[in-house]
Amino acid sequence: MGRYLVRRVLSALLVIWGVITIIFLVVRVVPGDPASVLLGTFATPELVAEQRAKMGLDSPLLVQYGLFIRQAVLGDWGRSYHEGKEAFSLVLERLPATMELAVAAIAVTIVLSFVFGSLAARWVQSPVDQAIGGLSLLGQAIPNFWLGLVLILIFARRLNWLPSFGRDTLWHLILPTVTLSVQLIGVMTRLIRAGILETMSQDFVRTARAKGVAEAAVLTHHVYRNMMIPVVTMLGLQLGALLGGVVVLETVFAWPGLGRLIVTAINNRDYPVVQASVTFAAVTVVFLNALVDLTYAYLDPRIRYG
Amino acid sequence: MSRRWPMATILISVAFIATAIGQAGPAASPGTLRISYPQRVINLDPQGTAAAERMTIILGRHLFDTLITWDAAAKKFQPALAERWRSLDPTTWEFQLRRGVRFHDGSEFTSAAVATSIERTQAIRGPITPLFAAVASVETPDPYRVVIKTRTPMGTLLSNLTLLHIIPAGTPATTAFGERPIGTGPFKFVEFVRDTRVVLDANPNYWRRGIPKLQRLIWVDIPELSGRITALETGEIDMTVQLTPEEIRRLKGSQAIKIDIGPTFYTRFIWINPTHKPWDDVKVRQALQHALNIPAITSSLVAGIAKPAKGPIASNVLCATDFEPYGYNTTLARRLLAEAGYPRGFDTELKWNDALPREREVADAITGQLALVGIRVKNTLQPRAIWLDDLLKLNWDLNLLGTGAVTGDADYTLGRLYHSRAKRTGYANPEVDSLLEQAASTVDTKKRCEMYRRVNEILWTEGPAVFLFESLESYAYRTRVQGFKLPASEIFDLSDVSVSP
Repeated sequence: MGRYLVRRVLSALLVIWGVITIIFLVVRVVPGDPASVLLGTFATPELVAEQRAKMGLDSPLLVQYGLFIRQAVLGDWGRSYHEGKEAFSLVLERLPATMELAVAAIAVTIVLSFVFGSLAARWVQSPVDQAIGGLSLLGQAIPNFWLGLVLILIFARRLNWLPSFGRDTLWHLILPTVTLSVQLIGVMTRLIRAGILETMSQDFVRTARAKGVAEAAVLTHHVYRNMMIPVVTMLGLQLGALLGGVVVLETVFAWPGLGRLIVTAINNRDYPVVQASVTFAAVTVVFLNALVDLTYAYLDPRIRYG
Repeated sequence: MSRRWPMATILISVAFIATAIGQAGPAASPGTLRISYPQRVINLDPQGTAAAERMTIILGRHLFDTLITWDAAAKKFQPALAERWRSLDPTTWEFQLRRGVRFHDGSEFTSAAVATSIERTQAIRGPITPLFAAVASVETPDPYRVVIKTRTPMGTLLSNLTLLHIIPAGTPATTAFGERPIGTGPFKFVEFVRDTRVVLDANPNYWRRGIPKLQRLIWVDIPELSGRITALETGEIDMTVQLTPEEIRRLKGSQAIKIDIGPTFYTRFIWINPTHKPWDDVKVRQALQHALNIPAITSSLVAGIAKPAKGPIASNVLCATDFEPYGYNTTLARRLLAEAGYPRGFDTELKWNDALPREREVADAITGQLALVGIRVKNTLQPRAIWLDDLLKLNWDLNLLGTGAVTGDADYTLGRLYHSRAKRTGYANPEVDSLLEQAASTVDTKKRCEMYRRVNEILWTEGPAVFLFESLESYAYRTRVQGFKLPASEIFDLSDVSVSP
């Protein structure tokens, strides 16, 4: 286990180094000059040149890279050109909003997709199964920005039940969460239904039933646990994606998450913020993947890391 | 009985949630106005790198004061933190300051604050630094007197001072000030949550009596226009600006919402690059003027958000000049093209980015109209960063853009963009250069305006640009908002506004 962890950490570090190197290069290769974007159409060429020097963009790429890596190792991601704040603190500022939405959406998804998936599997090929199958297909197919706008139209504009924008009370969380989870529920329900059906036909389920274990206990103790590996993998991937920010929904609901920060920073060529936020997203995904891998061993005791 | 419990629990929960949701509906707080704005607030430093951004200036109007203000209606400067001013000689100006004014932190406003404000603007090297480049020194002979000395006579000093927001003496030239700004303005800073809101509270000790009328002013960030309109209709916000023509039409029928449309200092135009063939030929440039049906665009695509331009700068700007429009005439345009040696037209490219409302539709209309006279336009939308890069490198034939004369002075647009030194359009005319230089160093406004009149005329007739529109600004607000007066430009001020409960 110890050696596995060391190997795992080393490969994670390698992946993260790869990501930050690629992002460092990509932002600089893409056309557009941060200094002129910063000063806009109002600046003189002299001011733009001065600003480039101040940003350190006038030195050779390799020098910039060396400096960047050294600072990154020390935990200094530089200051945002535009906002004037530490790039990493801007990322941290956005974290609560992004986490709140991601965790809420995943929680709703887990609960509802287990309910729907189990119902569909319980009455397989019945109208219930067909209805759930149809709805989850629909859920996957509906573009979420459109769904978001429709929900705003109904629940905010017409009924005036829920706030239409922003992040303030728990009520503000409802529409974005619903919008975000509809697609996920669609995916997960189908996955869970298939998993249950496959596991149900296994010998150990038959044995459990033969022993007289109650149907509910069969489901919770034997079936669920044995179908969890693909489910956990999928949930880990989805959570990782959500923690990187959901740009379109953040725009529709005026939700101050990471997605808008990244897009604004890319548009403004705000290199430090792009670097800090993309690195953060990469670290999150790597960490979640590792967590998912470790969960496998818990879910299936036959899996041993060594 | 016990079986009914789950049902009862569900019913009670639903009732509870429904009641709570009912209470969650937007409640208008007394004395608070919530407004949503179309641009992102980058930071609040009035001298920082975002100092020329519209939102920084608008918020600055509420947080800070300037020495003087420009009264577009009376066409003269009005006292603010400076009570009187005079020019001692062409390079020396003296300002007598208002006494008894305090910053939001309780410190007293004195001449040292004026010196800090100018020196900090120079030190930061941001977009408004050039406005004070000619200032040689700021002397403070006593706490209520400031003497500004300029290297050369500076005709634009007073106009430029209307953009100098006064900050406390000794404020360092770092970015921290933008996070917690302190001014003498009608509102004081409470909180700035990026991409969410800026909250300001009334300054009870404001030196103008009876102002502000609001207790709290909240600027809410809603990036999508449809989201802003929804929030306005549901009452989650009280006011928003910059609507589309469709929304203006639709909301005009609403009982709960009032729409006002006012002028701006903003003009939108097509720049023509005379260093690229065939645009070096003035006949080709004039053909372009006649080939465009501008009223057709302003009466449909940009109805209510723009009107045809009458000159290179917007009519409310100091030293603006009105001209006869060119007139839509495709026969004349074709003849001019033929005379220039292009009877069958030519290929060219129009670059733009979608920062301005309806820019896409305008670019499409221009492309279509020019096709009718044989000018085949490649219509190219660019991301802002790439567009700016190309713009500054003169890597374009035609460029669709706009600019605002933020200080309300002709020099801000003309001197900054059309002097050949600026290298913005590739157009170089020694007469324009010399007039712009003379005007900038002439202190007498009347004489300056005469020079700008000639510059405007040259730009209009042989120009490196087709001046398309003067932008209009639309303001939509709920009827509880009272006392809103249309500003002379897009920089509006809510310190006079009140809200009914």
